Amino acid sequence: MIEAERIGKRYGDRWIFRGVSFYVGQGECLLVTGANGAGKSTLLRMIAGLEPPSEGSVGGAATVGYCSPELRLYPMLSAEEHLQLAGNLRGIPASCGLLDRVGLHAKARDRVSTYSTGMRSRLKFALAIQQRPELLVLDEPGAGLDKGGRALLDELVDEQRKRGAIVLATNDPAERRFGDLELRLD
Amino acid sequence: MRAVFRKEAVSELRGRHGVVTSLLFAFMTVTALGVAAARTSPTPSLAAGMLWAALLFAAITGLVRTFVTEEDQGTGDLLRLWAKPGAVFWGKFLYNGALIVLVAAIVAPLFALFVGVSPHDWALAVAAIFVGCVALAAAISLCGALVARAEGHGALAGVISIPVLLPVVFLGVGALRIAFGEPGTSGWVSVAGLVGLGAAFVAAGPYLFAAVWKQ
Repeated sequence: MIEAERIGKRYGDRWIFRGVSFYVGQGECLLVTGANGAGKSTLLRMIAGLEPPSEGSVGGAATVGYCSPELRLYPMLSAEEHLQLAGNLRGIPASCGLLDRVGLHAKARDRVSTYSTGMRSRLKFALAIQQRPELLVLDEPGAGLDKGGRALLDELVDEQRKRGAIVLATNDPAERRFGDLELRLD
Repeated sequence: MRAVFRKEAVSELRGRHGVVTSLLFAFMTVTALGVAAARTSPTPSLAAGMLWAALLFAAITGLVRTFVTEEDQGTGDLLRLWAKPGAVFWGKFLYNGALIVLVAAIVAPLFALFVGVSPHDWALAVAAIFVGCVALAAAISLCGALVARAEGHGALAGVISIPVLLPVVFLGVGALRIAFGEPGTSGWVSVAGLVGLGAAFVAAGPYLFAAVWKQ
């Protein structure tokens, strides 16, 4: 499903990590843990195709959904318009029913600038699963979520296991239960 | 491409940062030129240079709009996840082009009114301004695309844009001064040059942008 072979990332002369290899198969969830600055988010960005590795190779999944607190949404667009934009660019239906699924139906036409952190996280979930990806990459997915949001995260992870694989970076003990495999970056 | 254009247009309609800034720059430039030329009648060459200065000031704000703003806001990752670089470049180029043409449609009549010049050859003047604006949008989109992800992109944009924008301004002034009445036959040649230059920028843009898009 997704395989990384001796990947590393360097900024200037400083290596963030080197020699990282893993394989995540169908239905599995790889937990990425490590101290702040160990490179968890950078590794996830590489898996999502947002950054190239400085060495090694990573790939395998045809479609990747990505959700991270670092991901910024367009403040002037609504949730519905985000799904339409992503759908048009990806060449898939906008699937606005997803907003019902993530609990944003009532706010579908409000601008994202009026959303709370938790609501933005829900919209990012909807965008990440819009194309029913083979691989779901989640960076600190529980950050800013209320109880309902955490229940939604549980559902999404269960659903993704049936469809493909998951890579999840977290230091939250409550989210460790999702992991089948663990990669610790130090 | 259409989706990126639509996104830019909707954001602009709701925020109105780009068009207001461009119009403000252009209006202030035209007003200053109008005051400076109040007691004189500028030559066709000078008038052409003045109008292009106003258009350039209005357009230059686009250099930091679209591509650079996308990275500064942190929303570039969304497009990297969803779109191919070519679609992003084309969508943003079309948006920049539409905005610059819109601004030119307002600024050019104001310039004629304030500075007191009118074209002798209307077709050449309209073609020079329209094609020049499209070439300007292509040049600005190319520069913005190349520097957006670089550290210190403000300074880099200035350095890169000078050699890219100079030929556009040179040809634009060349066409417009003949449209304003200076003797010569090279007006349409300059317009053809602008078409070629714009086409070259637009053709190279997506490839160069793709090279820096995910670095």
